[in-house]
Amino acid sequence: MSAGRQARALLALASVAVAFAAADTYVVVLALPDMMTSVGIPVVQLQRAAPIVSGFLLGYVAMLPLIGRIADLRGRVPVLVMALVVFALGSLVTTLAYDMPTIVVGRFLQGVGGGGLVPATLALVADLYPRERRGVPLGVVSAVQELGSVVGPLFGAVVLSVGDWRAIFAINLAVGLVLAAAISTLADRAPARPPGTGARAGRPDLVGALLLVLTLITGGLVFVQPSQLMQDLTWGQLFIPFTGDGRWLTPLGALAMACALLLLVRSATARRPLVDLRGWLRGLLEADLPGALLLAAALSGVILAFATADPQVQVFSDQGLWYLLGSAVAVVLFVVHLRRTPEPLVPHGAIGRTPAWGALLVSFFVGAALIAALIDIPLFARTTIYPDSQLQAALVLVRFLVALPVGAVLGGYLTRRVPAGVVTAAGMVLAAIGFVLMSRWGLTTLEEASASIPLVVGGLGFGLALAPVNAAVLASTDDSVHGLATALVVVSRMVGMLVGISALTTVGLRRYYAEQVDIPPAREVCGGTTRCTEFTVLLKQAGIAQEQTVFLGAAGCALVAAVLALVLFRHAETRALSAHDLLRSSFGG
Amino acid sequence: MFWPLSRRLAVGPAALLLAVALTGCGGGDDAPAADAPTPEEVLAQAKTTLDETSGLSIDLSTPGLPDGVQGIASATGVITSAPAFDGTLDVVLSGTTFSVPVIAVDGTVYAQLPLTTGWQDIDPEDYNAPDPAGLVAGETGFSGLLPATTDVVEGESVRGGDNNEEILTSYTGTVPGAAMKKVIPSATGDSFDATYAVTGDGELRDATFVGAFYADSGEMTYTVTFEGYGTQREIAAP
Repeated sequence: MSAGRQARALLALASVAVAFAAADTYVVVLALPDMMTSVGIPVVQLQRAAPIVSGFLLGYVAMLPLIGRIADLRGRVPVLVMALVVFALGSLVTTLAYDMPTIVVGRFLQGVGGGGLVPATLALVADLYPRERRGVPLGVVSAVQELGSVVGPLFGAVVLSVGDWRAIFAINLAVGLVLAAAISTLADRAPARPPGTGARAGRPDLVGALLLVLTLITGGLVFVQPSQLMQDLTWGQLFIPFTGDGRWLTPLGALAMACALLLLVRSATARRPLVDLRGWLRGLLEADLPGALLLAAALSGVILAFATADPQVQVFSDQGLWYLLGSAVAVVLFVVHLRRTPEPLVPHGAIGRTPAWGALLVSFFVGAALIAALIDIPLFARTTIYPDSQLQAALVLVRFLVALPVGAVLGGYLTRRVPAGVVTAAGMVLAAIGFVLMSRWGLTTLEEASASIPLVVGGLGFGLALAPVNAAVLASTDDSVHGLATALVVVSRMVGMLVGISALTTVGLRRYYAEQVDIPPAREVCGGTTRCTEFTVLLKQAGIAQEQTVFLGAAGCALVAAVLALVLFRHAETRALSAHDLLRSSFGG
Repeated sequence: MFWPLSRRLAVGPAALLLAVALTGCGGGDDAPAADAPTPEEVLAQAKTTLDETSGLSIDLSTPGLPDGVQGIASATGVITSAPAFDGTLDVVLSGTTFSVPVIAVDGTVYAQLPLTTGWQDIDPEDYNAPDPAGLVAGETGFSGLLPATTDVVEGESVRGGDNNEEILTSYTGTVPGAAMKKVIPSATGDSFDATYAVTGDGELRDATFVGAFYADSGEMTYTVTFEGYGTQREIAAP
């Protein structure tokens, strides 16, 4: 294999990994009801399950600022392999998860791994191609990333039609490991090694490997609690807690934690460690670990605040207000930290002009509205007409997703003739119209062909808004920060998704409870008995009411985005940019 | 299979932890004494204990209802000898699981339906569900299944119960459909495979039943756990 072909093969593998990780953001949308049942969350308390989605986004977003720098410091291939290993570890934790916190931890790790893949792959493109030939490969990487989000729900649906939700993550685990092995094998055969992967002579660290295996086995047993072992009179004692209850303060749990600790110590001290812990830590610190941690803390405070709410009583629990306060403190520290850093993530004044920071604000609200469509459309389909067919429910969302790229192309060409603010506003108004129509969907609307109209209108609207937002950023920032600025637009959109999924479900439900009229007693509805078709229909209508309120909230977010775009993009000189540039960067990750 | 290996390899702190854990209990010698009670006697004793307790926590669940079935996915709560129940029923209706807080007192079942804020009285039979207050003792309780179980065979000693701390003896047998129908009104099977786990003190800790619990559906499993015998609770109508 020639060096060129090898490099392209490497890039192809990395792109597959990126697509796979992107698919994972939305892979759970159809599995959410099943996952909620598995961990004992009733379907009507969606706000408590939102972290299953937002946990992934948190990991994805928090890692992005770090990884670009680590990829420079440690080399692309090690970062790709490490990201895939972390992704696989997250998949393992999720597939074995036994309660909500373990699912969210698993999803967070998946996000960290998935988020690490994108910048490393983009950096790989920069290594392999000269500047003038980067357009196509960058476009391909961005396209597969978007493709992943279309394929994600479908992939989840196909797996769910033959297995349960745990199977999805078991497949993720396998694919992650296979890709990691393939990439490192391919890179090992490369004649010129990237910096930081100097040949390691001698035997690998056997003690470390042994500790790793022990950690996996003991940890796995704590997660799975196999009944043969638990019921055994002798071995079952390993599962008895020292104090209180819980799985980790048991002999087995302690053993697992001790093995993990020893593995960490071994990795930090061995001459040829399994994982070069010291090196990675050094890389992380050089790449602004404190900054990433502060960002993660700020975002997780928001997630927790909404997830602990009881919308039947109020939007935030008392504890939720503390989470929000913590979040605010983290934001302040993050800003101070950025200002003090000699080489800040975002150079001073880089996004100082109104359309530039305006685009970030608009993206935030676009993301908040978009996530409502991605999560609640399939959820709505499952709870109304396709309770037993995830594939059919996924196909409902596909009608929305297919219209999206059509709108994107249209938006790209319109942006050359019409001001960016107007195009964005038009797109978001279309999206809002779609959402308002969706909020009127009833129990059987999806069976009718007319249900496609709001789906297509909404998808088209979101597509339209992609290019003008990027155009506004590109036209009002310097050439040298274009890459960073478009990346910030994507990050801002994802933060919007993360806050949106948390806030919309909670606030929507709160509004529902505040305004609803209670369902009349069953005896009244059914005339004597306490169960009849009319009453079941009433119950189901109450069940979809939360999704209807979320659609309305999303319509509100879309309108806010429209107004902001009109006002903030007024002075953006976007009509000089070529459509090709816009479309390419509008998908940029 | 990997356990003996891992134990030999576990060094320092891990071995110490194991030693501490293993010396905590005496191990599982269960050589049958000459006057050991017969399995039927054990179950009869367990029935008496169930019938006489002032209250306990019950947890009924299934790994999965057959597709298309409308019924109970799980029930957890406290049942007292009043009889009264305070807890939550997860009901599956048209493919959607509804979590319903339920209080049952004096033969009336009050439920707080999803996305509503008030209580209303419900006829559980309309929902293929039993009155949860009657699930433990008397004619309609699980205790009634114990003497009705035929072909009882004593099985192995197993570990289980709260925190896995207890050593239980398992018994298997067959429950006739008619007896099951008194407890779970929707049950349609002719017979149910039953597995009981009983503590040394004669408390029924858990019971597993396999059979057809709903019309036109295949076999499924319900597992019922009974903990906290002797619980004292005043449960009042909401």
